Amino acid sequence: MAEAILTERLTKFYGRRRGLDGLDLELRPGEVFGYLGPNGAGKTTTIRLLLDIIRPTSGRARVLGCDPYQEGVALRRRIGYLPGDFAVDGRQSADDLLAFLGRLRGVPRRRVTDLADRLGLDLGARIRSLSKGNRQKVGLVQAFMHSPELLILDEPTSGLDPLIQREFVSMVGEAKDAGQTVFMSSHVMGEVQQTADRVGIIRAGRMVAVEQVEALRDRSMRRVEVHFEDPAAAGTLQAVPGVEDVSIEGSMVRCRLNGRPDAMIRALGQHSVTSLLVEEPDLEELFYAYYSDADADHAATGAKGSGHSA
Amino acid sequence: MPSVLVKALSDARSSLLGWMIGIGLLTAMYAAYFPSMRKPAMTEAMESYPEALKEAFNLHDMSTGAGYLQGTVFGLLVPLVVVIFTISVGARITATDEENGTLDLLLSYPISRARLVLERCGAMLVSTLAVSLIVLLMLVVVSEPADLGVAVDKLAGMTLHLAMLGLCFGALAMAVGCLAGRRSMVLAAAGAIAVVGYLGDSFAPQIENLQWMQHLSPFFYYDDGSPLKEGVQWANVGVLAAVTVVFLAAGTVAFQRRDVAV
Repeated sequence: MAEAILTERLTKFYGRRRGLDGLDLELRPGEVFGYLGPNGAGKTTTIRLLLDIIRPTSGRARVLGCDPYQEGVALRRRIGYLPGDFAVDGRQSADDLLAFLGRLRGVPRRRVTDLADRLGLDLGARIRSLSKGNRQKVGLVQAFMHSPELLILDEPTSGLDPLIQREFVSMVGEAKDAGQTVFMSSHVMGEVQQTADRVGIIRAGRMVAVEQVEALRDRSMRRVEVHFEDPAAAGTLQAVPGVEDVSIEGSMVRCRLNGRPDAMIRALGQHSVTSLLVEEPDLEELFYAYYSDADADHAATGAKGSGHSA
Repeated sequence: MPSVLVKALSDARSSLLGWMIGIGLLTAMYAAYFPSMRKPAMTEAMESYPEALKEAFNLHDMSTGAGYLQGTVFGLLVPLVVVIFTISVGARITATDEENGTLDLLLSYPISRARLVLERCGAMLVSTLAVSLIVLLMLVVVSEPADLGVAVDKLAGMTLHLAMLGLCFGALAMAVGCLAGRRSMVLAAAGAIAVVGYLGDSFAPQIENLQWMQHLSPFFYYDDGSPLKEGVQWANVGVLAAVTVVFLAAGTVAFQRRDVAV
């Protein structure tokens, strides 16, 4: 089967201002792809090119095997899109808007109310009166309602409270299980690392790295904080493989754990531990650290002085 | 089903109702004033007006119903208000949404840009007809008590001219919006053309070498041939319709070709 998204040297200039600079991107069908980069890196430009809202200066894009311009209407039937800034006319109720959008896609009303219930969205409220988070829920409902083959989500979780974020994560999981492809942009790794199979990072209009999330996790560092009952045991972790940067303050030990936690747990098992804190791995830090060299190389060899510092 | 057309009308329903009430009241009050215009004192006062002014504002024949309506209801205020209305509707076809960033979502849906634009133009046609029909309705209602003495078919003919004038400017506003994507640009361009067009039709003909100018003005085709007395002037309606179609086609093509809301 063809790639869900394929771009070849996709480039967009707004006058002289660079939006996207020779982007190569490949999404396999059925994968969840996190598209990361700082604000202004070209994430939204990429998405708007894929949807034929704007047209490339050069290069080309294929989405679900279609040309976004030539076969736009048929293609967009198979895509669900959540804009980064979900702006709609605020005078209508959420119900009015979703009924209209549902008619354009031929979605039964039942499906809309089910999704709204799931996200805890009050359909009767005027959109203007909704909080940013609730407005985002309207956006999520319309993006998911027709179970599209490809979901394009621009900063999907901005403004959502943690409970709804969890619901969102499970919705993305279900979409993946159903074989749908998800292309999700964000400027923070934390938003995508739970759901994405792969992440790509874009800077100054170029893809600087693409990586499996699993592989990142294996290489990741976790911050660990341990409290021992007996201060004398505090030295225990110093010689354990994978444990680094140990600092001892009385009975409390702070350190960083590299890779698998097995050896550290065995060492801790010898002692009486009153408290243990292991932080989620900060993939973002690792990602940036790991690729800062590659990025610098890229910038140095970038054509026509396009290596802007990020 | 033309979902976009229906949605456009439903979104605009309260504002459309407001315009209909306003234009309806304006028409009724103007027309109902006719009996007091026929008093001799008023006629004398009118005769003392400068000829150029009477020419410009269609005030030479205020003693007959048709002449009175031509100079008042259909003279300046009602066509002006209808044109302002259609320009504001034309601006909403793409420019307002594009400027507010609310067009992205619709463009990600399985509808072509042409369909989006043309269905909204359909909604503009419906709402222009609605405000025009209110004008006709009010005149028919007031006709008897105010003793206007203008046949219904003549009133309907003039109303058709009014609707076509409105559509012509609505289509102009739509075309500028499709091309430029900015509401301020639409209002400036369409507003300027409306003012110049009105002046070109009312004052330019009085200057010998500028008479040709009136043929460039939509207002010329709107009241040329006295539709209130002579009935619908099909050639003039045809010119307005043709210009409208050209604007709609140009706007649609322009909008399909360009980047939206960069």
